[in-house]
Amino acid sequence: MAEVQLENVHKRFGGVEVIHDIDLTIDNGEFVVLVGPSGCGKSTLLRMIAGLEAISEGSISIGGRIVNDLEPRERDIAMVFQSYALYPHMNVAKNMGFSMALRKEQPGRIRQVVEGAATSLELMPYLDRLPRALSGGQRQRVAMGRAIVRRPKVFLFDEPLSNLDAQLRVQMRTEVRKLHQRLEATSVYVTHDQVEAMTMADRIVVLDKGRIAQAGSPLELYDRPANRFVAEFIGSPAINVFPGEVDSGRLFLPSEEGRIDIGPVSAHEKKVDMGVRPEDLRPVDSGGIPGTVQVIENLGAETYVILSVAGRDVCWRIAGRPDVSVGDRVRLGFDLSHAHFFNAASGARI
Amino acid sequence: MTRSADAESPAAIEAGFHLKHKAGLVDFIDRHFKWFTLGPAALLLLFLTAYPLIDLFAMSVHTISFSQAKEIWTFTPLANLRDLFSDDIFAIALWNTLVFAVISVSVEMVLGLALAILVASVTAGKGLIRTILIVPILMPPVAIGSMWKLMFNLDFGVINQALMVVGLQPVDWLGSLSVALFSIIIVDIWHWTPFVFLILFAAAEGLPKEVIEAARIDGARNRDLVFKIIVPLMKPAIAVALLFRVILAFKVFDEVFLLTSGGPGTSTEVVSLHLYKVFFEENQIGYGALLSLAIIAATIAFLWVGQRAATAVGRR
Amino acid sequence: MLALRGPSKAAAYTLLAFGIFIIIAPFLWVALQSFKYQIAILQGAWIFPPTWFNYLDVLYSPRSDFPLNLWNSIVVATVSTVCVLIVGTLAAYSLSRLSWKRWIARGFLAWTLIFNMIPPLTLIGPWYLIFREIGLYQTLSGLILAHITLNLPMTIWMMMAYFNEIPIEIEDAARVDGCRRVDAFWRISLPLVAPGLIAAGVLAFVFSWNEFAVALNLTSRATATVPVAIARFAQEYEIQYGQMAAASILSTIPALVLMFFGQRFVVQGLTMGAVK
Repeated sequence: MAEVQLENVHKRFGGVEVIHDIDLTIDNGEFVVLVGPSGCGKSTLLRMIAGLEAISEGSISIGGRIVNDLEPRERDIAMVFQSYALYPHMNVAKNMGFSMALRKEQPGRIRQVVEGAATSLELMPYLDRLPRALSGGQRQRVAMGRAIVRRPKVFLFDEPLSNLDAQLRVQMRTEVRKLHQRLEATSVYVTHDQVEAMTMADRIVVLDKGRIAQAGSPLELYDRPANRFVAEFIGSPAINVFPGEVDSGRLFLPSEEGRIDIGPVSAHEKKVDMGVRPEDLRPVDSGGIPGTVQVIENLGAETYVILSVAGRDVCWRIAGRPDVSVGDRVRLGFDLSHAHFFNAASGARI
Repeated sequence: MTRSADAESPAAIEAGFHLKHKAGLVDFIDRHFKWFTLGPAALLLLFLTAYPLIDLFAMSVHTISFSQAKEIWTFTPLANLRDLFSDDIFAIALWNTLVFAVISVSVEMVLGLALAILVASVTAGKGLIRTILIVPILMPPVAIGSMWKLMFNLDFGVINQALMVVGLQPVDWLGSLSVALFSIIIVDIWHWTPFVFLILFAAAEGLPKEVIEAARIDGARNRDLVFKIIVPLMKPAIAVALLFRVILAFKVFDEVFLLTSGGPGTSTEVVSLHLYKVFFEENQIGYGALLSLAIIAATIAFLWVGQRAATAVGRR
Repeated sequence: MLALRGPSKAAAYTLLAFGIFIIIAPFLWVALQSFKYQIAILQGAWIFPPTWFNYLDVLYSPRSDFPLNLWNSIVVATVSTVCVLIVGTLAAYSLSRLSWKRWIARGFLAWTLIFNMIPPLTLIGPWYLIFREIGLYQTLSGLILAHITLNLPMTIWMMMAYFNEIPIEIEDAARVDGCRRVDAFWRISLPLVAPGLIAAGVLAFVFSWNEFAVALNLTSRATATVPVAIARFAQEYEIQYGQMAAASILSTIPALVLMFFGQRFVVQGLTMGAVK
């Protein structure tokens, strides 16, 4: 069983608490992505699972065993680092086989396992090369190969694709996912890129300043964000947020034409933020929210139109190429059931 | 528990994961690695620097003599202190060392900086020039002293020969009261300018080229470049070179010992040399210990003052 | 760096040429003297019958200890360098990578700094007494111990600079891969600071070879090193200028050899140590 369980985990640096009371269970074989903006604590959490950082409070178990006091090498984990952290003075084969050499395995056995991993990662021609003679993508694969050879209970990834160029990143995303499926290993993956999170994860854990903002499947987070933070973080381009007021059971938004009645909303709060995703907006002839077109971004298959609405930028996403030009006045409508409402003060979903 | 031979089988994976245990000794060392690594150095320093320092305190209040290879310690704190305050030669040595250090280091810093900038501006042969220039740093200082003793020789030394060729009078470099300290300074400049050059040259090569090019485009001439751009950017390296040179200058011993041994008279008596004489020519080990402590205190005080001055200047 | 054109270029190159001349000239002149008989030296003659006599006298004469001194210097320099590299590198790794309380690490380094600044002769008194008591006075072992201690601060500072250059992530990866602290040090960190070892080793060897003040007082005729021998030549009542010149030139050979083969490391070491 390679389940990872975090219970009441806290982390303090000096007097500052950076991880507040995290409870998380990662099931055997699951691919979980920890995602969030810089400083949210995702890397720290990963390093605590690895044993590279100590836990201030709480417990972490791997495979049912509490590992709080165990050294990294005793936890049966493997880690892929952002900078790959390949040993500069060893060639690819030695890098990948290092952990086995430390365990004094037979050279023949080591070579067998290394070559197996190398073949699956298309690294066979590079076995004798030193890291400095490899490209970024190749080093990345060696780092993964080193982790694969370990046959660990848990794979840990610390932003492994951040140092690659955009095209390579997309390619490697699929590679990592395929690898996970083939090895059926529990994986914890840290990234700041929500696109990576959405495309790779079985489950996403969004972290905000050391707390879990929401944990769930990608579509859960997309369709029903638990708070404004998650709504704004997941989804590209980001969700449009409109600040509004509730009066007699109806939501009103400010605009150049005065208050616009959006519709009925059941909320106790007076101030409510409404979130509508760019693709849920559509042009209407009457009603809706008026705006002026500022910028048109053509991506070929779809277009993002940035409008100015009551002084704020709103993004409207439409397939194909709409017949609008800069400066046009457009009225945007949407289906109320596709709108998300959040308490303006706390950000919590209503 | 050790891994089963077939690591592929689910049983092997389930059976757990443990490193094979090496001989217990290496594991023991690993558990206490922190201590094993710092221990030898700490012990060495304790035994040969900390303990001797404490010893100095004890020695400084005694007079120590030897009778039939046995040490005899007599408690004489007042006599030792009196010796210290009536030690005119020590005062002279302090003064000489100060004069020597100030003049040598100043000249070396200027020459070293000039050389560093010049060599950095040369288009070809930088490596070769640097190779040649740093040989004096690697030579035994005693050999340098002996070489210059030959060169300074009144009768056949090459310097006097050169002087006579241009019609000047030969100078008694090592035997004349007024000139001797100056001669020592010349030797030190020859010895240590390459050291300053080395540090400043490395710094000069490390300066951002674009900044200098931008200045050139802005209209800076060589003189402006040097004083307004290059030197200010090199301040940290200059500070380091200065610090090292000053520390070394106060320790000077080898060349002076060989060239003049403090003479003529006491015109080239330096602090280290005086200490040596007190210990090994006058055999006053107790007083020598007191003198040592005074010198150590002076060094630390000087360092402390220098550090405050440096941070004050750095803040400006 | 500076744009050198026309007159400024000529001036610069003249200055450089002069500088190089000043550096080289003493060697050349002293080398010249080393091939003269005493008479020719005293006469300041530039045309003279050349001879190997001085070198032969220094190296092979029965009353000359120079070969013995050479051997002593080699032993002391080599052994003290190997030892200081071991002790110093371990200590540097400890301070750089293992978890010590801040005040311990800082205090240790501060102590080495202070010790590096005081003139070695201030400790000669206690060392004399200590070595006498433990029977190491006037032995090569005693001198070796002294040299190790004198070179320790510089070695530690230098090796720390090299260890600090290794990215932490590599050591993290090693820990995850299964390295204990010993393995991480021996298999990963140490190989990666190999250039540092060479630079520190070269410098330690040179400083040990050149060291005079302590060697002068802690050795006897039988255990004297090369610098002590040179000083003796210069101190005799009737100075033998020729032999003095020859001995000086001979003692310069290690420096020249190092320049040819180890220049890169020497420069790297001196500047690394300085930049800290």
